[in-house]
Amino acid sequence: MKFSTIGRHFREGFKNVIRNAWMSFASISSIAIPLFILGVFLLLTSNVDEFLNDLESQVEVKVFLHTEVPQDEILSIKNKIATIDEIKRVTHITKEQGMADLRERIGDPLEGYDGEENPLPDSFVVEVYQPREVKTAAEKIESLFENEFITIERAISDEVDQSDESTTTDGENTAEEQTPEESTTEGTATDEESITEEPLTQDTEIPVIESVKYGQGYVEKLLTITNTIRLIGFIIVIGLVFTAMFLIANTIKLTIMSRSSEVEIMKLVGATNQFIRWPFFIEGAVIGVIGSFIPSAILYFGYSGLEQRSELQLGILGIKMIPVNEATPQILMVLFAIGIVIGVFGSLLSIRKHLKV
Amino acid sequence: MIEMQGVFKKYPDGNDALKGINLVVDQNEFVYIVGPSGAGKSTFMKLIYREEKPTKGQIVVNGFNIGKLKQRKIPYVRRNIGVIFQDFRLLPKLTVAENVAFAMEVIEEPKKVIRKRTNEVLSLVRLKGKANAYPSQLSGGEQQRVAIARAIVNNPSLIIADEPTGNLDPETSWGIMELLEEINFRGTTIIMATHNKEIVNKMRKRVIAIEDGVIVRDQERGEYGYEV
Repeated sequence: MKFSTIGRHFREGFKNVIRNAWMSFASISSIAIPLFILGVFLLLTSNVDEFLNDLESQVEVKVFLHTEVPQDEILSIKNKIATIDEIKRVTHITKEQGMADLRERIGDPLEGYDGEENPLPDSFVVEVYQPREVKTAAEKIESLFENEFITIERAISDEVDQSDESTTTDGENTAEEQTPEESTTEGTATDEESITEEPLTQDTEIPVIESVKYGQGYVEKLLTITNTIRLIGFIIVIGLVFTAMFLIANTIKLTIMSRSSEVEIMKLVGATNQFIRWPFFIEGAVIGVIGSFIPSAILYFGYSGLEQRSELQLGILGIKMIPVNEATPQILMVLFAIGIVIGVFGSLLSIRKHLKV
Repeated sequence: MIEMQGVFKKYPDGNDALKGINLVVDQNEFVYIVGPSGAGKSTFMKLIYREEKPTKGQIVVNGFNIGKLKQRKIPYVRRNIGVIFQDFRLLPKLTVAENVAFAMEVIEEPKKVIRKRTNEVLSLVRLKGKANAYPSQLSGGEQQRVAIARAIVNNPSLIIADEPTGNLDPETSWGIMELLEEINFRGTTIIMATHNKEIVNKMRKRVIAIEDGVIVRDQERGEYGYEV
């Protein structure tokens, strides 16, 4: 192919778009409209997905150590937990930290429980890679420490310890913190008693880990719901992609059918198939680019406007839209890719039929 | 120039269009193809410029064995053949000059050559003044002259004309025939299918009559031979 011919193909391709203005308009709209709808859905689903991820990332395992576990053991316990495959990160929450956190939520009633008086155990916050693995991780932690005990000197009357939690005074506490915190409150209370009356003590073996919590029941439900929402979004997007492709290919087919006489004449005067194809190829690309540029621009500016406006209203509900510069690039790229690929391949495929003689 | 040996054409729908055609057409001949509608005239013409492929037999045009021609070689054979139709087949959105130039652009001639040759051909068909008009602004005869200009612009050695006067009034038809005769005088072979008795009888040339898929008459300076 001569160099001047390439120029001719480009000129012809662009000219054809203008010459067949109505057909081009139809093709461009038939690309732009489904792509716009698809784009809206992609933005919607990626925001929903972000929101769901956010929800899921709050899923974590809490491991409460027994209050009596000596400080120098804690690091090795932490390292041992960290060896489990599913686990991403283990954070040590010291009893001081735990108290501070708790105060933030409850406040005044906890005045004075500092230092030696602090009834809270040390704990770990364990993050997992996959929210759905939280149960497995919790079970693994439990079985890992099943046979680990520490021996401590204890008052015999300590048996009461874990049985009657309901009678405690600190009713406001959340379920997660209830067990260890209250039981130890009681524990220290009985300790004081035993010291004053009879120092009857005995070596007891107690498990290192007091309890492992991950929001049993709640997490499973949350994951079922988020996965269902994702699946629905995915199905809709796939459906839209196919609808868009079908609509676009159909319009391009019509465009070219309306020009079959042109193709026929080109063949009669001895044009090679390659030569006939090129202007259609470029025309398809131009239509694809324009057809995806329009919805992309609308989506970009529409989304950034919406994001700014919604910051106030939705922010209160704890919902945050993905910033426009994070959300749009991939989606716009997807739209452009679909638009151009369909524009080009649509016209090439449709013209193939006319080239066979 | 054209050689056919035992050429058969059967369409996929079972229609036996040609049943054993043997024929030689020499360089610079002017041949009328006559015969009733549906006798196989159009198929005969289409085989020459390879719009259709023969089912059996051999066709050689300009040294190319048409039946065995590779798909991608077809365009190059067609560049040596100009085709003219009853319905002109011009591109409605191109001007007269663009329509003619189109045939040269397609074979990648340089721009300068295209401009010069287009002017030449348009003056030959006496349409120089209408170079920038669109086909819809022309009369039927003028449109056919544009089609002829397009057919000859690449200097083909052969012109196939399928009822070129079929849509024209007698006077205009004669204008077209004179033009074709002039092109023939300049050395181009012309094969023309026609139903026009007056033209065949007055402008005497070789006449080949096809009936029911076979050649029934082949006569130098022949007559039309059918009642209209």
